[in-house]
Amino acid sequence: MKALRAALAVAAVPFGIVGYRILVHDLHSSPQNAVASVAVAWTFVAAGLVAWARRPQNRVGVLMTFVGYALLERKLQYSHDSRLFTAAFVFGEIGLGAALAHVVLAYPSGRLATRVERWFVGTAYTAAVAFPAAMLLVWDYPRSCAYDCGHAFRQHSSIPIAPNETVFHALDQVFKIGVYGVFAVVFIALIAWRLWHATPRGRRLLAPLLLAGVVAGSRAVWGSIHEISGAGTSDPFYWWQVTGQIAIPLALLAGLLSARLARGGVADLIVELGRTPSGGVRDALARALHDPTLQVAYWLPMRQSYVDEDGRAVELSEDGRAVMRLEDIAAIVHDPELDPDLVEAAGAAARLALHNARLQADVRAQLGKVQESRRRIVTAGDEQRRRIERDLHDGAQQRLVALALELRLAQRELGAVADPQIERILASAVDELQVAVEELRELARGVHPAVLTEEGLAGALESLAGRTPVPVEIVSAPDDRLPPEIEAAAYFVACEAITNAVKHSQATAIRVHANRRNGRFVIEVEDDGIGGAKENGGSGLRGLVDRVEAHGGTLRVESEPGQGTRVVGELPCAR
Amino acid sequence: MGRAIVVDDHPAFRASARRLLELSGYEVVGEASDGASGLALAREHEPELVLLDITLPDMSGFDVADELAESPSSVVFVSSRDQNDLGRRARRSGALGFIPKDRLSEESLLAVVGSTR
Repeated sequence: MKALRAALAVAAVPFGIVGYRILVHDLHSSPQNAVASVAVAWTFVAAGLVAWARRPQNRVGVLMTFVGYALLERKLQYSHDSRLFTAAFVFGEIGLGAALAHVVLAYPSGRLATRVERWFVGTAYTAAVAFPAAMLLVWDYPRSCAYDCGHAFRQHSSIPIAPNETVFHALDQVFKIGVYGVFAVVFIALIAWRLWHATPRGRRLLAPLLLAGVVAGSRAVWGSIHEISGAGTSDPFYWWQVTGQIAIPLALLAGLLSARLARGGVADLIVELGRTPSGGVRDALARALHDPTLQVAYWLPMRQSYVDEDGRAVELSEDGRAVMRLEDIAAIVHDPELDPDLVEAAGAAARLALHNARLQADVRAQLGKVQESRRRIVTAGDEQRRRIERDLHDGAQQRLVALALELRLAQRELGAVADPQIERILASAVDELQVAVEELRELARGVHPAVLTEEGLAGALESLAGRTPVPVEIVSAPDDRLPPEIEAAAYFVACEAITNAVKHSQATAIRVHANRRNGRFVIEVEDDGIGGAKENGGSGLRGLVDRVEAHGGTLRVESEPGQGTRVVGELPCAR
Repeated sequence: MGRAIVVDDHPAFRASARRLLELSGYEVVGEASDGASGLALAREHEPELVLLDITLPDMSGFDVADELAESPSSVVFVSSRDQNDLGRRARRSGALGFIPKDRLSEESLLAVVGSTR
């Protein structure tokens, strides 16, 4: 391939010189116009060969070289030699008519991305060959004139089958309007569509090249307007077109240089990863590839799914992002305009760091599952408690109160005629039942107070304060309902803290604050007792710590001896 | 003393309550086991007293009491829970009063009904 590229580079020089001579001597073009025309072709060849050498897997280099040679070949159709003219005329429009559009639309990946683009380029190649070939078949020498019509010399076809001036001119007009008019408009529209849908990085990358493409293509549109209107020459746009055509390969070179700089970023990445914690691998990759939107998803073989750095399940995005998979480790979701080779190189450089980060993501995913399971256990426990309270209320409690009422009725109906012994027994039974009902109520309340289910935390705290032997002031309480698990956790924190204050701290006053603060719900119970309580001092508080932590919250006890006790529970609560 | 109805989803309690009300001098004109039937019964008979359980299968006793706020009937809540467990709504309701079921007796009923007469 290297030898082929060298041969193509060398061959372009005499080819260009021959083209220049034909332009000047046969077409009677001005030397400066001829130099510009050959310079465009040489620029394409040079840029194409550089691109081909640097990126052998990418077709852009080959296409650029092809455009350059097609443009050089185009000069031969101005030759006065009929065989050279005929051969060159058939393929002369491929360069400007199809290959140029092909390379612009295929940049930077080297492939046409959409079916419309493929259809467009295929049609352009076909038309660029079919129309000139057809024109040669009806060539009506000496009157037919394709180029330089003001000059005395008339070229002639080597393959005229049915010369017909009318058909020739009809074909000529359709070709000029169709290929250089409609196709140019479609080409510009495709470029505009690409820019519109490109990512910001894609726009930065494509804009100079596509702008040059639009500049080069606009002369063709102008030319067809002139052809339709029959107005004079479109020469004022010649230099405009030449500038655009030279800018195209230069813009491509600029793109290649930026890719080379980015490869330098990959080298920096290797150094940077050596001192980056595994949590920073994504950021390091994003910096190295200049893609702030880059994401890394880690593959967990046991779960057969991807997770992010924190172990949360993620779906690989399909909405126009490109995905590069590192087998069994991770996937890099990146800007589709990034050079895939570059992303692969960065992925390979970061492989070890990504592997470590994957292990950490795996641990976090497992921790997340444990945390989720813990939360579900507590929530299920709460639900079970609610059910037990309801069952107690609807079952045993109802039967006992009905029995108490029955005994009272028996007392009432026996009245004065009752044996005093029976009356005592009945009275004792009623009293015992009363105690049993009270104990059952207390048990049900401890399991899960009905008022918490029915009225929420504020009502439950009021009820709790109402039956506490020490004065309890509810300083603040939420007006609205909270998620049931948050209400339950906050209530049991308050309940345990108040119980401890009454039992152990010799408190004379208790204050309760319950309100939202910065996306968290905070329950705070403070007393004026003797202090000295410890967070791990009893199973009640330890159980509460578990309950609060299961919901992602925290519980702390501040209790300096002699300074009262303050129990603070904080629970995540977005709404 | 007037007519009364009993609204409670436990048949045994309804039977006992009926007897108690009758012993207290009320004519029990109907019993209902849920809120909707209780409301229909109260609207049909317009009794002087509605003995109303707070926990009903279809709706809360508080809601039934709210519906009867404009009727001539007086509502007395009963529940196997005590008043402290019922929260703010029990305190805010327009009922004559509340009697825990285990404390329901001629005396407690008279105390509640009589206290507002």
